[in-house]
Formats: sequence, C-alpha cells, structure tokens
Amino acid sequence: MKANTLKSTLPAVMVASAVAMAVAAAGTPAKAADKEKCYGVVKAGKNDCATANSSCAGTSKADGQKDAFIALPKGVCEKLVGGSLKPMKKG
Amino acid sequence: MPALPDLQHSFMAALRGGAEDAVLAAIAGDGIPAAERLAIHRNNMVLTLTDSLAGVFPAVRGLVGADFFAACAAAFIAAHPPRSGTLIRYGDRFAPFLDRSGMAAPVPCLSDLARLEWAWHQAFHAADAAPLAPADLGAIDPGDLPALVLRPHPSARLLSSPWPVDAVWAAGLAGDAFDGTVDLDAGGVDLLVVRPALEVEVRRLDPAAAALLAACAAGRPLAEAAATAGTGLDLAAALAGLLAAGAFAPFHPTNQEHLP
Repeated sequence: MKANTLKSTLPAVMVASAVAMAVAAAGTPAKAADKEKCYGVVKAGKNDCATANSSCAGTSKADGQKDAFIALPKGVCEKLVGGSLKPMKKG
Repeated sequence: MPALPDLQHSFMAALRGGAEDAVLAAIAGDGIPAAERLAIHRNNMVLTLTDSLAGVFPAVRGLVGADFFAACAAAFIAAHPPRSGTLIRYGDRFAPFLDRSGMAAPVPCLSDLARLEWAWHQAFHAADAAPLAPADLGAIDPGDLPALVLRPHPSARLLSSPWPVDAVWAAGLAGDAFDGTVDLDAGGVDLLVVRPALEVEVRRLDPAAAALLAACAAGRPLAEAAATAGTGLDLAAALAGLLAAGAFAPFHPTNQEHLP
C-alpha cells in the first residue's frame, strides 16, 4: 500500500463545497443544558470495596459457578427470528 | 511465613481453583475453618465480578437470561481474571471470549452485542469534550479544507456487524418486557457510539459515512479520507450527519495541528 505514492484524494473544490453544505445543514449539536453531571456516581457493581450481594450470598462458601454448563440460553433470545449460524453478508 | 509476593501469587492461584495448601497455612481459622474462609472469598469474588459484568453487559444478560449469563461470566472470570484494580476496565475481553469459548454459539449475534455494550461502556467513561461545532468547521479557510485532519470525539466508537445488533440491543435491554421479535436476517449495520454530552448515543451510519469517520480517525486528511470512503460517499450528507451526531473532536484553541 505504501508503495503507491499517488494518494487518491477528492478535488479541493468538491471538499470545500461539501463542507459548506454540511455546515449549513448540521445546525448546532444538542446541548445538555437541562442536565447536570453527578460526580462520584459509580455504576452498580463497580464499587469493589462493597459486597454487592446479600449477606446470605456473601457468606456462602458454595461456588458461584453453576455445576452444569447451561447449553441453551433462556430469555429474550427466543424472540430472535431468522439468522443461520453462518453470518450473512453485510448488506 | 512466605514472602508477600509468593503469598499473593498462591492466593490468586487458589482463588482461580489451584492448590490451596500454601494459602491455607497463612489463614487464621478462628471459628470458621481456613478452607471455608477461602471458599467464601472465592465465591464473593465470582459473584462480585459477575455483578460487575452484568452492569456493563445488561443487554447480553437480558437476552440470554440470568442463568446463562452467570455461566458465561463464571467461565470468563476463570479464564480472564481482572488485570486492573479498577473494575471499570474489566470486560474488554468478554466479547472475544464469547466467540472463542463457543458459549455463544446458540446465539450467533451475542458477541457483537457484547462489543456494542463494551463500546457503550467505553463511551460512557471517555473524556468529556464538547463536539466540534459546525461553525468552527465553517470558519476554516476553504483552501485548507482538503488537508484538514478531523479527529474523532474522544468517546466515539465505530462498530460494524453483520447483524442488526442495535435492534438486538434494544430487545436485550427491555428483557422480559420486550414484546416483539427481532429479525436477524434484516441485514448488517454500521453503528456510531458517541457521548457528545452526558448521554451515550447509538446511531446507525451509512457504510460510507462510517468509512469516512474511520479514515479520519486513522489521521487521514479530509480529501484523502473522503476518497478512501469510496464512491458511495455523499460527503456533504455524511459530514452533516457526523457533525450533528457530535462525532468530531473540537479544534484545539491554540494547537493548530489540524491545519496543514
């Protein structure tokens, strides 16, 4: 790739006109004026000082892992339709 | 007593299911046998890390259910324990693990869903920045535009998937409340994940617009990036969409490196 010294570029006049159109069309990105940031708020499960579990689970010596491998998921994935195991071509 | 690094290494090995003897000798029983104390600690580690992963991958969990997610998480934790003391960084290898381990084979789009959620998580924790204002781009001398380097917003992430993974994401987030179906044959998507202000946004991009942003992210000047994006690119429309999405970083007020 690097051997190709002639880099493909768009003509300058096309770039300039496209940018002018884009700037006119884009408007101003939305501002979050009505919201304020809460500093120090950590998402659930990210406070590694605390045990996020009930005292029952927290003192259990039972292994958290399931014994049997759960081969088939249960849940919303039953509502996925189509889709063979082989991914389709992007289109 | 063993040296502290040796003790730490054997403690870690025991937490991952390895030999316990060296560690047990260093644990004071005091009412609860040392082996039980270690088991409790190990159990807490797995549960806490599983909760942490559930916080990063809520749609994966919603899609496959709590039991399957817990099984995937436990296998992942055993294979890839955290490398950082900061749990925010934990989970970067979850999506590749789902592919490699074969656990996600029943749900082929699952690893791409995990990639989308990791991108969301990264965008959420990325540096704050006001996106490039269209007026600032408009103020650039037209003669400088072809060589202009547009940097992506610090939170911007691109994701390409052969599945309609944004629709799968919405279904997974809704969990049991999801009342509908997702057609996996609906085709692939190019997604932009970005946090222009406080909220993370996930948008579909035209493939050529995604290629344009990727070329900009690689440091290519605008005229070259536009040519790279291919003949399907409508540069004006793509730039307008990316500007409106807040996909570009602002120009540095004093550092003029974006200019030729």
